[in-house]
Amino acid sequence: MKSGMKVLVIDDEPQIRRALRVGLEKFDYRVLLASTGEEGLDLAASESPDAVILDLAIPGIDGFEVCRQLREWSHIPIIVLSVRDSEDSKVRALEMGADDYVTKPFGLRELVARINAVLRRTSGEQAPEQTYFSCDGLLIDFIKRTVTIDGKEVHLTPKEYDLLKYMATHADRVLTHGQLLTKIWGPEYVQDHHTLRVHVANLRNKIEKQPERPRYIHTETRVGYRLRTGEPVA
Amino acid sequence: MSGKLSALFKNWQAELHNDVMPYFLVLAVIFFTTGIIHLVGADSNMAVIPMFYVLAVQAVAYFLGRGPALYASLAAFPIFDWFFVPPIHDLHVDDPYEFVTLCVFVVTALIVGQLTALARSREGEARHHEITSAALAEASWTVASELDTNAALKRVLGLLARLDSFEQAAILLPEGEEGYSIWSAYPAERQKSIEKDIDKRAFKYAFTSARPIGLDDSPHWHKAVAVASDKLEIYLPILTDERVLAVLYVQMRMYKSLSADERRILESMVHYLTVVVERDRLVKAEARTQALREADRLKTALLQMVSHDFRSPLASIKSSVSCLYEEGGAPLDDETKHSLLNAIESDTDRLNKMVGNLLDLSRLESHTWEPIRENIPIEELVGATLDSFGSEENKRIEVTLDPNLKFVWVDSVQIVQVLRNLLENALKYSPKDKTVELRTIRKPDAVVIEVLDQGEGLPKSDENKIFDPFFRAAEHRESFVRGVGLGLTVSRALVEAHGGQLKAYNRETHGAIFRVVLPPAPPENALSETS
Repeated sequence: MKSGMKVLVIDDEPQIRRALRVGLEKFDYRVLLASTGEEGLDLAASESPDAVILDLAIPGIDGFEVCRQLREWSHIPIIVLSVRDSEDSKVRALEMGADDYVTKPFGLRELVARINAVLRRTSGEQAPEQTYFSCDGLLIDFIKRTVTIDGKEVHLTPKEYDLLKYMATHADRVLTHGQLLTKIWGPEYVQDHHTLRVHVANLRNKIEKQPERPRYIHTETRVGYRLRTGEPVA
Repeated sequence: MSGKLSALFKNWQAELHNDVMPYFLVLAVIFFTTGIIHLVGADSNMAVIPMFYVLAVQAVAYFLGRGPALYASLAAFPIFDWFFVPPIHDLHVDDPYEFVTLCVFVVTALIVGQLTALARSREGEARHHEITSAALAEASWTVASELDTNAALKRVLGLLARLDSFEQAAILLPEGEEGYSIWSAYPAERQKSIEKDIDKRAFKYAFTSARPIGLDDSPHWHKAVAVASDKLEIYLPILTDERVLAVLYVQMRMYKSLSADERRILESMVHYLTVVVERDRLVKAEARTQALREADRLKTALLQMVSHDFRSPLASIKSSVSCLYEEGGAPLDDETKHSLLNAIESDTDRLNKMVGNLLDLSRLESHTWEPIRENIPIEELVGATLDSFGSEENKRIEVTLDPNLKFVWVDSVQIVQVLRNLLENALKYSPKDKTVELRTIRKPDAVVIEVLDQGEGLPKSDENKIFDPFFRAAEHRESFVRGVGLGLTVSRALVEAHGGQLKAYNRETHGAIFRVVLPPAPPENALSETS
């Protein structure tokens, strides 16, 4: 990770802003602070930061609206700060274009890991299109449409393959049920969570050694799924 | 329009029946008596004949009342004269003595008839009175002895059936803005048809204005209810202190004003119903107060425990931070600093968890956190639970899944939290080098998820208390193993919100079992388990 990346923090609590500034500067980030959504949008436009950390509950225009407006003109990674038990707002923020979320209260290590992950991803997305995906024994060949685990080929149905490929090309991102259903099945299936669950269960049975302790496809309860390439940071 | 006409026609018929028919009957009786006199040959004895007629008049008076009796006396006079007084078949009376006999007969018949009718009506009144007082006495006994509101209402309504032309009755409660609901109906099996007869506007009028409808001929009832019916519909508000509690609806078979007696009975019954309904209201209010008081007591206890359990991590954080300030004294080495910071972090985590549990408990108690059930693959549920533990802890968790259990019908957020609490608890109370086990079992009528530990087991006398808020086994209370207060309480509440049970047992060997029993998925949700 090259140093000097600019991170914009939008949060109305001065204590959190101060703690994040000190903490992130220790990790060699340059930190921009905003206490309202308006201020945050202005800074995002004038300073073009590399990532945004956005509290959903801010006065004035709220976090969702900031998310939506940012996405109108920018692909800048957004990590939202949400409170416990707010799956609905997590889903909403993700579907409005947020890249990830961290639940308050959080540790600095966790936040930095998430920032690094989204930055890695966005820089990866700009790279030329990969013809394969490889992670810890899982290899997906996008040209031959084959999947192997530790060299052994596994047979997936077309839907399972599409699902896995989509998650692999969006690795380490939380993909909401709605996003996956819309992408793989079509917008008319957006509510059909059960179909998605059954397919993910079948997919896990084929590619995971222990489906109840998944290595690749992790569940974000009531939100969606995430294909993890590295170890989680808790 | 035709409805009104037919109602009028029926009324007229009824009046005809009541007012004119007896007079035809009287003529028939008199002619019948005349025939009898002829038949028994009593016409030879002028002294016996009047006896027969007086008897007939008396019978008429007894069965038909004063008017017909008078009519019978007057009608018997010319018939007696025509058939029996010489010259026969002539109204002319020759013998002045016979004339006197006739006159005495008429006077006697009149007096006897009127007296009989009077006695009869007195007797009727007395009997009616008796029925009325019996009904009222029974009503008062019912109200005093029957403490079950619904049974008391039913019995009091049943007593109304003793009114002569009673048809049906019901007690109505307001429901929503405009509607009503039937609280009790008599006869109960006719509730559906009674509902059809009730006029919503009449109910609303009686309920909001606290004025009766149909009890008298006051014009407001005609205005309020344009009933095109041959039946009398009555709506009586059941009220206390100017507050209407309910409305009594009564339908009488015939359309006519109530007699003073009937009105009196109805009014008394309303009084009795008021007592029953008001008592019901007070009992319910009392129960609510009791529940509130109990909740209040629990909250106070909880608050005391919370403040205690919150204070200890806060005190620890505060002292660690003070140490780190290093004001005066020797500087701290890095290792000490690190351990102080570790303590602060784990204490804040603990506080955070306690706040979460407390919030969950209050949401569960106020029923604002109802489970959103979905068919969840069991691996997904278990996987999401295990994901929340670090890799070190995961090494200590063994999982055994029943291959016959594929899906569970649960709120995944809530049940993941339950399993996480149970596993956390199991890990905490088991020795560090021992494993804990999570296993699922498919039963014909239930889904069972168990968490087994290898700790010291549950305290013998406290087995059921572990689910109490802030309980921690006595021997652990002051030890290094720190509980997260409400974890088990919240877990049990969550499982119960799913219609399931969470129980704890001691294992035969060593340790404890926490068993979650959940209802299986409803059959209509037994969706296909393949793609």
